[in-house]
Amino acid sequence: MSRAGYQREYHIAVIGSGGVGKSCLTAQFVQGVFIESYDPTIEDSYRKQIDVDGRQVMLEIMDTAGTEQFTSMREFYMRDAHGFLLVFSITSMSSLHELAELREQIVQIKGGDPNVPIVLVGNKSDLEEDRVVTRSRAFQVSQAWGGVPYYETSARRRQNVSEVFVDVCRQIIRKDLSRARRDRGPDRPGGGGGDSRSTRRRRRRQRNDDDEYEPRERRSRCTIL
Amino acid sequence: MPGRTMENHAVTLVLQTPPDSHDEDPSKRRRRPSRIQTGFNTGVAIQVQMTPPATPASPQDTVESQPPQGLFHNYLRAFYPFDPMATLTVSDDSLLMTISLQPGDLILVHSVHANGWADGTVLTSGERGWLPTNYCEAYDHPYLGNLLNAMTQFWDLLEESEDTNLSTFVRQDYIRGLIAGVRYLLEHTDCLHRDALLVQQHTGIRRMRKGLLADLSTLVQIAKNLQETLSEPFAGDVIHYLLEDVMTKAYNVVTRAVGFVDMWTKEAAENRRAISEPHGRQDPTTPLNVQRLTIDTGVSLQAGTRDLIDSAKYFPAAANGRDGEHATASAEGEHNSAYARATPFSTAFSSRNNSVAHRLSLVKPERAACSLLASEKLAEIHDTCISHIGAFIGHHLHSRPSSEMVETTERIVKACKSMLAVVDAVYIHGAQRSTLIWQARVDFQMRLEDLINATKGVFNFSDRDDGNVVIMPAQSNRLITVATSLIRTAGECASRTRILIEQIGNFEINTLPGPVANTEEANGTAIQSLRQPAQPQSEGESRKLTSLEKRLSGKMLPPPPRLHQGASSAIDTFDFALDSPAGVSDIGTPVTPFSAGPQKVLPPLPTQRGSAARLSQATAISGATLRSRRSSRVAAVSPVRKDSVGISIAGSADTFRSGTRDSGISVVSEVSTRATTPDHTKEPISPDPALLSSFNSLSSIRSSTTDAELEAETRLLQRTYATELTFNKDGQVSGGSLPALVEQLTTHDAAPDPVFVSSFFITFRMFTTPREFAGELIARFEYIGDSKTVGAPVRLRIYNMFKGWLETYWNAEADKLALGDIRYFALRILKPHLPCAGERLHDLLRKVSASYHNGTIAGPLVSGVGKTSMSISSHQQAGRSTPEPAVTRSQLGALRTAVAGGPQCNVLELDTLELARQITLITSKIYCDIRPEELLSLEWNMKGTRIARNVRNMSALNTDLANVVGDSILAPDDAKKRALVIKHWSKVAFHLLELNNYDTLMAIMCTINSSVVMRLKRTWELVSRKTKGRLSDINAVIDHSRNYASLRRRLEQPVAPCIPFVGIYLTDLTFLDAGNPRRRELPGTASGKPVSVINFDKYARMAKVVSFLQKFQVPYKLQAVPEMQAWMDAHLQRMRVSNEEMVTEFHRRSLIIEPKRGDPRAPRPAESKKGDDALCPEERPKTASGKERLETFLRHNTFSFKSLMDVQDMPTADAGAERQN
Repeated sequence: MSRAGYQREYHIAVIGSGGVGKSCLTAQFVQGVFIESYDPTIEDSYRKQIDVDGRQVMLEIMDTAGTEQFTSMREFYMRDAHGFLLVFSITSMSSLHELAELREQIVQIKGGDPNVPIVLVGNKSDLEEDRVVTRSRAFQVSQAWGGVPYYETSARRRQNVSEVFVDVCRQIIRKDLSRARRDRGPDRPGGGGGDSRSTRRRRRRQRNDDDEYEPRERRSRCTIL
Repeated sequence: MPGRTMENHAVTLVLQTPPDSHDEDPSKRRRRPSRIQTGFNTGVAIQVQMTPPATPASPQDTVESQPPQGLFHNYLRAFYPFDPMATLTVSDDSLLMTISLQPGDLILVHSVHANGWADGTVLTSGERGWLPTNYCEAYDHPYLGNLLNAMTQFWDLLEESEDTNLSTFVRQDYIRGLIAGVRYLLEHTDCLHRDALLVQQHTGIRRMRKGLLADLSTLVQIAKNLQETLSEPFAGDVIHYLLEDVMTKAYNVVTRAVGFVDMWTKEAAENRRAISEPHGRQDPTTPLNVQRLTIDTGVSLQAGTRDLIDSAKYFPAAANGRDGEHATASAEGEHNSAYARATPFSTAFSSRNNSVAHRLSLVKPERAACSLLASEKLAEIHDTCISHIGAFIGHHLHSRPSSEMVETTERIVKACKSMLAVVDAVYIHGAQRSTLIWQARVDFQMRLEDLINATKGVFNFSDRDDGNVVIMPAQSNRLITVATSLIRTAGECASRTRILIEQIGNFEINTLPGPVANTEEANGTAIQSLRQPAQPQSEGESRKLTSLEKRLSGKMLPPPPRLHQGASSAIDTFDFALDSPAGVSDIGTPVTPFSAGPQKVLPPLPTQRGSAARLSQATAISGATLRSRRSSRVAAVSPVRKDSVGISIAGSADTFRSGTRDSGISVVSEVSTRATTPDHTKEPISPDPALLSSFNSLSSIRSSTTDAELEAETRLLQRTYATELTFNKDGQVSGGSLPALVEQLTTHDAAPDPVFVSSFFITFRMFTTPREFAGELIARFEYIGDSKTVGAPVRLRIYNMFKGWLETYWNAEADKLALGDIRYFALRILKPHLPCAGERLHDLLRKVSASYHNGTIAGPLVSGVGKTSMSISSHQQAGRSTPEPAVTRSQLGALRTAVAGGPQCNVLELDTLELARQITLITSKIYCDIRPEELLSLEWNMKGTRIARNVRNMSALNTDLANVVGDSILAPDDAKKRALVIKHWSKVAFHLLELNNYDTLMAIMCTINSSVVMRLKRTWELVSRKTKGRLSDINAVIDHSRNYASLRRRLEQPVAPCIPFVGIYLTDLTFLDAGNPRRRELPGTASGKPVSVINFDKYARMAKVVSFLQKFQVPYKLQAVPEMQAWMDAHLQRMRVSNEEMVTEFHRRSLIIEPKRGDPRAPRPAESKKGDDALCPEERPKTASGKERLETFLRHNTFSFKSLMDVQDMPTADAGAERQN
């Protein structure tokens, strides 16, 4: 069902409160090269194929930009996502604080799994003079979340943009592999649903997962690069 | 033979072009020659059929082709005459043809093939076809840039419109660009005004200017015709003639403008008004030319020099003469052929750069110095090789006497050896990096040996005494194959060597390899041998070839038979092969192919002929890639121009037209604003295709209908910003400076595009301020003047813009400041000119100010939001009467008491349809209040913003509704009841879908799909399959994957009233803002520095989203049930208060009612589906018994579980621990 037979199709949710520059980050990433006019209303607007450590993966970015106030929608995005970019602006402390709540929701939705692939992103690193969130503060937060990687990006200067997406992909892949190793069951070929199963199927699977509503014992996660 | 010498110069002078015109970067191509253009264009067919001869289908070739260097040039100018069709009558092959070029022809390039052939339209004649780029040089001129740009855009547009819509031509945007281009040209050449000094002093300039204006006015007239015809019902085919005509006229204008520039450059230069810019541009290339010149001339230069100078003096005039400046039409043919024989054209063109003399003066001193550059040598010798091999192949294909074959083979061997010598020299020079070369060289040598052996083989089997051998077809094929592969390897070898030379830097080869001299000699003889018939012959072949290719092209790509491969690869090599007039000469030597007929051993196979033709075609033309003097001989074959007669006929037709059309103008001018449909009498000429197809502009000069010119002139004198406007492929404005956009809003010739106007008004506050906009409109009012034809309609439009702004698009808060400016305009500027309009505008202003005073200025005065031209009328609903609310008296009572604080009314008691209706009414009310500026503020997602109130209400409502649903599902302790509630909501969702209320639908489905609900396994076991099916159907609709593709598609055929899910469009707006820059650069302005203008494309797209949402802002025709709405409101309010905690609350609650991992206390309901079915009647509260039962157990079940939560305490610890993770 995936087009052109991409082996993996991952959904990445870009989450953060309004005004942190999520959309710029995503737009920069998806656009890649300069195009004369960017049309976000077409099907492929948020799809991009990238290479992660030699694997071709197709990413579908789900960016909540614009719908931050639709809190019920968040879960809509979160549920189907395999990995998350939690974005705040280094010029706004509250944007970092708000992420805590969102991260909690993610963990909840993912059945309490604390090892959901997450990258903490401090955007607007070009506005160094307006910085209010210090690197160490952000790093602290990332450590408190189980050592998720922390990046500072500048969508405007195209710094670290694709890096954050690649990192979260890497986490998803790693998780997939370890799960595949663990389960070795034929019923879960794609591990974390990386393969292109339909939403409905995924939903059904999740329903099963939720029965055992507890963190899976997968603490043996590798440290972040 | 001075003439010939000159040609040599001519050839070499062009050598500067290949980097430009040759190595095109395909990515830079601006257009695809993919559509068939009726009449004058040839389209796909060509592309497909023509390419194979030159196709670089073989992978080797692409490897070899040099990295692209220059930009894609939209325009080329022919330096040499090129005539593929001198003797031929053409039938169906005409489409596939190469076109003839005359020196000075301007060519609009559609695409350039890697082999140097370009698909282009000769503007002088309007013909489209393939032409050799090496006969041309890239043309650009700082002053002409805008005009050429406009022409390109125009062409694009016409190409598009061919199969899309013709709506673009309803307005005259496309013409305006051309006019502005001409204006720009005249302005910068100081010739804008008739009494400008230059114009007064120089007859040439004066005449050219006049001609230009005449052409322009014709163009404008035809555009008007077109515009009018389009509005008529019978348009049909006439349109196509008109389109063709308008295009031809545009060609004429451009051609004329080029002629004007030539003339201007010459005369102005004489006038000591030296233009520094073009001059400076030329300088760097000059030494290069000189170097090349020196290489290949063995002949006296003096004579040539003199000739050149002479010709430079008179050529521009002559070239222009073709446009009718000098000679009469009948004399023209002679003129041209005379030139063709003298052939000093090429240099003459450089006269625009004012550097002919300069160039020539350098020729002599440097001539001897640097003839030994390795690159030059390589090119030279490679050419020689190729030409000989080409000749060799031609030889076999045309069955010449075998004695000749020996000679040819010898020549090949000599040439190849000298080539090897050069390669060796380079190889030695840069030894460390040249393994590739060595490989290529070895290959090359091997092929050469193959060839020698093959030739020997032929003779070995000969048993004839007279030395003439009978060559068997197989042998012949073999020879050709070998020869072609030799060409290929030679090409590889040469290109690799060339690359190496580039890497290690050019150097001089001091000791000339011996054989070269021989080759030179050979070349000398070859030169002599060229005869006129030769070329037509080969061209004739090529024509047959093309038709052949039609059949063969299919076969070309898969691993082809040997011959094919050989042939095609042979042609491939012409990428570098670049020369082979010598080949031509050999083909055409004493015995021409056809006269050789009797001697034919066997009739050539079609394929052979095909390949031969391909080859010879390539040699004849692309040979001209001009490494050497030989190609100039091709130039010498100059046909008498054939169109001279046609010109005079067309001329008279034109005279007629411009005369009549003039009357048209004056009529138009009387018809105030509505210039779109001037109701004047039909112009007699418009439907006549014969007349319309007349195009030669020279006529218009002779006819000298000064009125038309005056008209054109007045138009030119108007200030315009059209050059600062750019359009996309669909003809929509994609960028422009503010003045240009304002000009576009208030064009004189047609009502502005409503989409453009509304886009502008919706978004202009994002790229300018209301005061600035008002100022710009006022400025336009002033600079346009009050001429009847132009000024008056524009001024009325400006007035209308102000009016529309105040009435429809007024933004009370943002636009307040502009009120003063508008008032000033109305009273001081507008009123003196147009008293009535001024008064009306003033009235309107008074109304607006009044509403500011009494505070009723909330919205626009006349039409509401969403009542722009695009909103869907709700009349489709008109027929239907409002449905009766499905609610009972007792339900109303229960709702009333519930709101009043009495016992709660359960949602299950209410009819699902009515529930859906009332929710929809609540949502619709907010939705219809959303104003464009809210959407465009992009601030709805900011916390604590006061802007975008309705958008935020919308999202708040959505969230609250979702919470209400979640609350009601999670409230019951009994799984059975929860399943019932889910079923209930799924029915509501179903009705919402029917009502097109996607926003609420989304809210409900978000909750049902949320993890807190989804994890309720026991509950879901009790949900019927039917309900699950319904839910999954709805889920398919709202699926957010692929960027909500399914939801978007549903809204493509809009049925108002409808409430789209606003979130999608908010995301669209956010990303449109984030992903598109505010400004863009105007495309390819020749004048150098890029001009940045407003990226209107971005705003147009945003406006599109806004108007998309607006068009659904139609109220539902439903009857409100105040009780139910009040009840809903109460619940929604309650949710809003605790909005933030809801997520965690739900989570806790979910864990309480169905604790994870088989809690013993959790009652496991024995009955599953059966029980569900049993409950079915209870869901319908109308059945009395069910209602009673429900009421009893639901009475204390409210939406809220908060009270319950207080009592509960024990499983929360679990949930809390969960959260701490």
